[in-house]
Amino acid sequence: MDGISEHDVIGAIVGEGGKAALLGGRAVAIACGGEVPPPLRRHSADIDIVIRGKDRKALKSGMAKLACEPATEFNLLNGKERMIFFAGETKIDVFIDVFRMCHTINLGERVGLHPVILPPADLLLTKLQVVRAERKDLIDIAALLLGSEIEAARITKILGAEWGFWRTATGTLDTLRAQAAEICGDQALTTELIQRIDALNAQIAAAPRSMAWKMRAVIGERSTWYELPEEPDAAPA
Amino acid sequence: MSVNFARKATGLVRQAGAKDVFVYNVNFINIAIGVAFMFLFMPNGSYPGENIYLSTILCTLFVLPTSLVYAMFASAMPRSGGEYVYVSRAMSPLFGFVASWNYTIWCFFYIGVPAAFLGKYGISALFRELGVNLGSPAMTTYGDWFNTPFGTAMTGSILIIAFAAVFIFGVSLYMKIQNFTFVLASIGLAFTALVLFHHTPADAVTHFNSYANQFTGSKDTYSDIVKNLGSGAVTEVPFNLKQTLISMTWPFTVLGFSIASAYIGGEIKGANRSQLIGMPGSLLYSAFWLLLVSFVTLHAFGYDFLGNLGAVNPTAVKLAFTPTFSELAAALTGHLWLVIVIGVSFALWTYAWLPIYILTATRNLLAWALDGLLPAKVSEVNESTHSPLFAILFSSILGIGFLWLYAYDSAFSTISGFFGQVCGTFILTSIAAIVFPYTQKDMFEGSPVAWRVGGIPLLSILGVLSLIGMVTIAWAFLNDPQSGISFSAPFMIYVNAGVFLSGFIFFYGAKFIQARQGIDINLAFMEIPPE
Repeated sequence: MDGISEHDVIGAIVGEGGKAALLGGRAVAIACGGEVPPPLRRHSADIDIVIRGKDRKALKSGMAKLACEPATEFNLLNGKERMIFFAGETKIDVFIDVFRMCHTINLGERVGLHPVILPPADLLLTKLQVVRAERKDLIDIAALLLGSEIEAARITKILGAEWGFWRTATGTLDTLRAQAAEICGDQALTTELIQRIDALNAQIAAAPRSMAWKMRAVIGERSTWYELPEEPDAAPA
Repeated sequence: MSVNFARKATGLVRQAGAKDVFVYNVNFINIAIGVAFMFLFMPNGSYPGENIYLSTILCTLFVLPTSLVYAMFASAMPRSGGEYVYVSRAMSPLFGFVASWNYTIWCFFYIGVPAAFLGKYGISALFRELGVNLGSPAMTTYGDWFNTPFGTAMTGSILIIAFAAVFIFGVSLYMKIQNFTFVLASIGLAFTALVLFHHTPADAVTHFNSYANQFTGSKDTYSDIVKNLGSGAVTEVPFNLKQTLISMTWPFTVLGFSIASAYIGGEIKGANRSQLIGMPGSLLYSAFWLLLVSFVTLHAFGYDFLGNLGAVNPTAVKLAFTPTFSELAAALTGHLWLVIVIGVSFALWTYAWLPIYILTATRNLLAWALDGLLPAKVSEVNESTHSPLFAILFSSILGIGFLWLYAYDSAFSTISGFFGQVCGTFILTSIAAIVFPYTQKDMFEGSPVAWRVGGIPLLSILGVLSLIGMVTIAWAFLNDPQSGISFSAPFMIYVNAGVFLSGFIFFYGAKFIQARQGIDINLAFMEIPPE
C-alpha cells in the first residue's frame, strides 16, 4: 500500500482504541502550523510515531487494517521498544514508550497531549539529542524554534537531569547558531533564529541541575556521553 | 558546509555492547569450570605423559581459527542465528539448517548440564567448605545432598526456571545480571589464584588432610587415597605428545565455545568491532586465565596429588564427591570470609553456560519459525512482556528434561555432545567459510572483512585452518578414554549421528508439510539475511 499518510496511521491506531503521536519531519511541519518558512521546508519520507506500551495491540490491529507489512524479525528482536512496518515504499517507524537514540527520552506519558503530534518541546528534544546533527536535523530545530511554541520548562527539566544530554543539546544548538545564516538564507530569519537560540540557551543555563548531572559533569568529555545508533536492518516479512 | 554526516534512517541502539559481548563469550567459555574439569579429569592417569599447559596452548591454537571464522561471519552478516545464517548463505539452506539443528539439539542438552553443575560442583562444595569452617557437620551433609542426582536435578530445575523468567523480562536484564555476577566471579577467581599461589605441596597436603578430616574422619585422607588406588596411583611420567593432544578434549570443553555471541548477532551494537574483538579476545583472555589458574593449582598441590584425587572413587575414601581446585583453595585458608568469596564465586561460574544456551536455542528456534520450518506459534511474542514466551518455555522445559536425564543416566554424564557440535556444526561452518567468498562474492566483497592474504580471502584461509583444527579435536575425542565417544562402545556415536541426521529428516519433513499448504520455504531462505 502506497500513498499512506501520517493521519491514516494515527487514525488507524486511535480507531483500535489506542493513542499515538507523530514525531520526525512530518510532525515538525504540523507543529509549525503549516507556516514553515520556505528555506526550512523539507520532505520527510518516513512516518515516525510513538505509542504507549499498552497500545501495542491497537498498533498491530491498526497496521493490519492498513495492510502494512511488519518487519517481522526486527519486531521480534526489538519489539519491546521499537517496531517497523512498511506501507509500500513508506516506512513506519514506531517507538514504544521510549525514544532511545544518542540519548534516551521517555515519551510514553507525552502521547495524547496533542491530538496528532508530540508536544513541540518533545519534538525539539528528539532533534537536540542527535550528536552528529545533519542538515535535516538542524532545519527541523530551526523550524521548531521559529514556528512553534516551545514549553521551555520541559527542555530545561530534561537537560538539567542528565549532563550528557545537556552536552549534546547545547552543542547542537551551538552548531545551529553557527550555521544559522546558511540554513535560513535570509537576514531577518537568521536574526530571529539566533535570538530564539540565545533565549533557549539562557533558560537552559539558568535551570537547576540534578546531583547526578553535577557528578557526571566532573568527568566531562573524558568519558563518552552518548550512544551512536546504527542503521536498523529491517525488511518486510 | 553544514552537512557533516549522512544518516540514512532513524537509527537503532542495539541491546548488547562490546563489553557485554566479551563477558557473554567469556561466560560461555567458563574459565573456572574449565580449570575444574582439567584437574578432575586430566592428571588422573588417563593420559600418561600429557602436559596440561601444552594441551591448553595447542587447544587454543586449534580453536582460534574457528573463533575467527565465526567472528568474521558475524561481521559480514550481523544477524541472529549463527551458522544457520552463515552456512545457509555460503552453502545451502539444507546444510545451514542441519548445522543449526545439530547445535541447537545439543543446546537443549547443555541447558540441563550446567544447571546440574550448580548443585553438583557449586553449592555442594560451598556447603562443605562452610560446614568445615563453621564446625557444622549438618551443613556438610546438606552439601552432599546437592551432589545427589535428586539434589542436582532439583537445584538445576529451579535455576533454569529462574533464568527463563529473566529472559521473559528481556535480554537487557540478563546482560545486567551477567555483567554483575561476572565481576564477582572474576574477583573470587583472582582470590582463589592468590591463595593457591601462597602454598606449596609441602604444606598444602597437610591443610587438605586437616580439612578433609572434618568429614572423612581420617587424619590422613591423602594417604587413604593413595592406598585405595594401590598400583593405580598416579605418578608423573615423561612427556608424551600424543597423550597431550588427546587430552585437549578437556580444555576444548570450554575454549571451543568463544562463539556464543554469533547467535545474537542481530542484537549487538557495532557488530563488526564487537564480534571481531569479542570472540577471539574472549578466547585468548580465557586461555590466559586457564593457564594461570592451572599453574597456581599445580604450584600448590603438585601433579601427583591432583592426579590421585581425580583418580580415586571419592566415596571409597569418604569424600562423597571429588573436590575441585576451588574447594582445595578454600581448604588452604582459615579465613571464613575468604572461604565464602572462593565458594560463592565458584558457584557463580558453575552455571554460566546455562542462560547462554537458553538464549542461543531461543534465537535459533525463532529463526527457524520465521522461515516456516517450525510453526509460527514458536515466534510469537507475549503481549505483556514482549518476549518470545513460547520459545523460551519450550527451550527451558526441554532443558529441564535433559537435566534430569543427565543427573540420573551416567551415559549422558560425558562431554560426548561436544563431539557432535564439532563434527555436525563447526566442521560445516568451516567449510562454509572456505567457500563463502566464492559462492557469495558480492556479499563478501561488500563486507567489512573482505581481507586477502596473497590474493586469497582470509576467511577461506581461516576456514581451512578451522577445518584442520576441528578434525584434530574430533580425533582427540575419538581417542580420549574419558570422552564417552569411542568406536568400541559406540552408543554415544550413534546418538551424535542420530542428532545430526535427524536434521535432514526434519528439514525435508517441514518442507513437505509447507508445500502441501502451498508454501515454498525456499523463498524464505532467499531472504536470509534481509539487507
